[in-house]
Amino acid sequence: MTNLFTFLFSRTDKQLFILLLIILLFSLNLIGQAAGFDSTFFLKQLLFIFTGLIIFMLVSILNLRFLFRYSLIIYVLSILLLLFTAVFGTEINGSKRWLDFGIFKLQSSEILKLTLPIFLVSLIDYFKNRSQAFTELVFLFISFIPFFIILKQPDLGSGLIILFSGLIIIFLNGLSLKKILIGILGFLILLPYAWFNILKDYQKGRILNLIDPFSNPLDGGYHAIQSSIAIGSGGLFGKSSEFSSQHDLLFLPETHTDFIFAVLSENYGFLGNIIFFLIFFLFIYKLVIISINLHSHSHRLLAMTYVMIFILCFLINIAMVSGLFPIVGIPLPLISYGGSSLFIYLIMFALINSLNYNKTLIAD
Amino acid sequence: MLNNRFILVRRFNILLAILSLFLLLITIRLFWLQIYKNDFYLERSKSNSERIEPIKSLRGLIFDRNDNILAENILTYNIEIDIENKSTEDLNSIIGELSKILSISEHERDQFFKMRSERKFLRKIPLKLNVNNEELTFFASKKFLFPNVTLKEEFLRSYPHGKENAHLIGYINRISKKDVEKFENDPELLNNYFGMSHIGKQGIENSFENSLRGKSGFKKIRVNAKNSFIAEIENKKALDGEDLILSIDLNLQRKSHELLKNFKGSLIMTDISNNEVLAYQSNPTFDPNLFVNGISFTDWDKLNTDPSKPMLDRVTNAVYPPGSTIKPFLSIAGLENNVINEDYSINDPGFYQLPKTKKIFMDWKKEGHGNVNIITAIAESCDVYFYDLAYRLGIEKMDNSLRKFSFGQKTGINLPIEKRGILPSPEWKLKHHKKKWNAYETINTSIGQGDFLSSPAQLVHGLNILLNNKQMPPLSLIKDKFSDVPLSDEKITDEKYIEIVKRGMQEVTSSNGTFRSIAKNNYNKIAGKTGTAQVFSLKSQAYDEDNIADHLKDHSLFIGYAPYDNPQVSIAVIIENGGHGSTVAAPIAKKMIDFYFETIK
Repeated sequence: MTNLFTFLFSRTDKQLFILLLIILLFSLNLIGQAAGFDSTFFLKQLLFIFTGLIIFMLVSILNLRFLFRYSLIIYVLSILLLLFTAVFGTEINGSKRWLDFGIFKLQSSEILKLTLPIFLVSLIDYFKNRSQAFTELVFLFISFIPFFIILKQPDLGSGLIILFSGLIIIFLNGLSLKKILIGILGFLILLPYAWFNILKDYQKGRILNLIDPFSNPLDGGYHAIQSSIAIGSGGLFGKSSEFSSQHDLLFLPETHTDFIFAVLSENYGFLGNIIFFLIFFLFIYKLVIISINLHSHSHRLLAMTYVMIFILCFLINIAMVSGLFPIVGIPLPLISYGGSSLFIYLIMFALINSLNYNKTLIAD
Repeated sequence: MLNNRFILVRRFNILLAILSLFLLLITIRLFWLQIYKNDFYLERSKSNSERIEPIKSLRGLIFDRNDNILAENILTYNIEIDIENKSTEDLNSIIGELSKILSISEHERDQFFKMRSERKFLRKIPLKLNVNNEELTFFASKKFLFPNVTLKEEFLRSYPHGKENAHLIGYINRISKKDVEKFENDPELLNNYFGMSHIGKQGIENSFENSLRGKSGFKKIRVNAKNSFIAEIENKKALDGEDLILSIDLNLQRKSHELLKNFKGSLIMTDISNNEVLAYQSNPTFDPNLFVNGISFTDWDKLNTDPSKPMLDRVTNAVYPPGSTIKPFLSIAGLENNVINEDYSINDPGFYQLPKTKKIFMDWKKEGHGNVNIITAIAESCDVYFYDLAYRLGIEKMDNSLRKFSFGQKTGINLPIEKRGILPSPEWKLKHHKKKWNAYETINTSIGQGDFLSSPAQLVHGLNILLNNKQMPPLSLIKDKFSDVPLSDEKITDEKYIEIVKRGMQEVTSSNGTFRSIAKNNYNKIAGKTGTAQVFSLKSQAYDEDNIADHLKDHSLFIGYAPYDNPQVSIAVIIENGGHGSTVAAPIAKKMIDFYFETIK
């Protein structure tokens, strides 16, 4: 038994692991404060973290050659899972995003965060002799397939994250400046089209609420206002106990999931936020260093893409909760309550960890 | 490969740099929310969870001088709907469901939505007021079906002797949009009305609104987002309104209501010694209870289009030519200006020719009164005597004397509105008609015609000044409430002039006076003066009481007091289009005075 642990830990970057544990403890604490330390949410999250760490260990010892070899199958399976969800998924609040497994619900779009980059990166070696433009077009096509399926669920936020992960790979892989400019131009031209033809009314409403949340305080603007109040009332050190908190009195719902940052801000104030950012900064710094120092181009690319997705989701969630961004259903990575998101990120970090350990073993 | 790695890392760094800027932006945003706007959001967070619930004050009761209740609060049950976060459709469906178990009229529904749009600060709005016992028990058994509907205990204003006191007490009604606008400029007042739904609109209810209403209190509680009670933070008790004891006597109100029942007119009876009002009656009248919860359109329309104007308070808000009732006051003017004296007499041929003109003024008695002095002139209401008096006195001196009896001025009675009437004078005419005064107008004024207008309240007030021979406090509807303005005890004229005029008024009820029908049974020693006010001057035809449209008939007036040897009560009566003062108004006054002495003394 001791040997097994030694074996596992020997394959893990100690600093990364410790920072990860600190962040997960932070998460437990916040979920406890938001939903109650005796709530099922807290207990389930405890179970998720425990399971997640086991998954982390197991994935850390995975041989990644196998992963790259079967990347096409993994990608196709992910897409099928998305389609399966679209047909048999559990409908919550008008969108079919989840597959219900009893103890936890799997948000199938989360899987794509993991599998799309693997597939794309594995193709780089395969397309070595093809032109850059060909590779980029194929990548774009591959990224758009899951994006459109997720858009139909509908889940604009997750869809955009998936699409972005593809775009990040194309960008990192050396997209020329000219094409970047053409891309931006194309996006700007398509924007009005998207506004009138793709976005649903509630999605437009969320964007408009961002501009003036008080215009519609009871419908779309409610979350934005209540979370601003929660954050704003936190002050420098957090709200003193003489004031009742927003989440205790249920003014801000879903604080243990997407809005958990509001609980942090309300209870620990601006200072608490800064400390929180510092811990994440150290964690991300560690990931960045590992990613840059990987030995193969495709490994670096995969690790960097994962790091980018992680940072992007982290920032988008906080921007959303603090009223800088429309309310899209993106949870705070590693902190928000929920199994699928947590597992996906832990697998990402486990893969990076594994790449890091195996870098000496893989002849490049 | 190295080149490849260089590009990758540079690209990666570019993305990291962009995201760092994003992080900086977020940090600035958090700084803005948490440090810069902290106070604002703390306040918002507090108000988020604090609810203020009004505590209504109980409106003061109104009693007559003998502790009979005239306005009270009775316990009723209202059905209210919590409108928070409810759209019009939601509310319509709730009301639709409710109407399956309760009768809800179109009017109630309209009132509900009207209140919702006008009273922005209300969370619960009454739908059905004063639910009867049967519906009450039925609703209570089904209440669980309506989570947003509550049964609210409320004290409802009630006027047990509604019609008999309608113009005097007035009524309360729901606070209107106009009232709210008025409050908005006065935060103190707005506080006093917190949670209140009614306000005094007319009569005593309006003029004593501030003391009757009291001040509402509030309860500040902490609630959660589901509006469930968490804790009480502050509790400020309501200050109930003060009770009011009127100088009015309910028995006299009832009697006067009965006496005026078949007439259009009014009556006011006062205590001569202190100017307190004992009876205040105007007819036709209305039921003030109709107003308490918002009068229905049909009722309101009926009251407003009725040609007999039941809403008009004919005691203080209607003015009439005083007619011959002005003669006692004019006599004082003549006496104190030495135009006439006790011994002065004239010969009345039945008409008067205005000196230096060919203008002829007829006496009401065509054959004339013969030789008349001041006493017989008052007793028989000799017009020619007063034409002559007025001509020799002149309008200025006449006005100066009449003004002492408060003609053309408000009596100061404690009611919201009062007409001041008109005491005509050259200045008044110049101001209002841009014309010079004519001598014949002096003659018209002398018999209370022309532009002369006064209300019954003014007449009785003037009479009380005359009988007391000093300035009187304003007419008061409140018992034992003495004016805070000190009044001089200075006599307004020589006591002997008063005695002469009183003798004249005593003669009115003698076998020679205009009210001689009373002479045989004047056991309460009533004195007074009759009056017949022309509504319409008939140019060529003679006035024929039997062949004239009702609304053109003369008004019948009487002012009087009793007993003449020790005056205690005074009265003014007007009956619109009633004809001669002696035939309608005076008998009513006698019945009132007789009733007063029978029952009160």
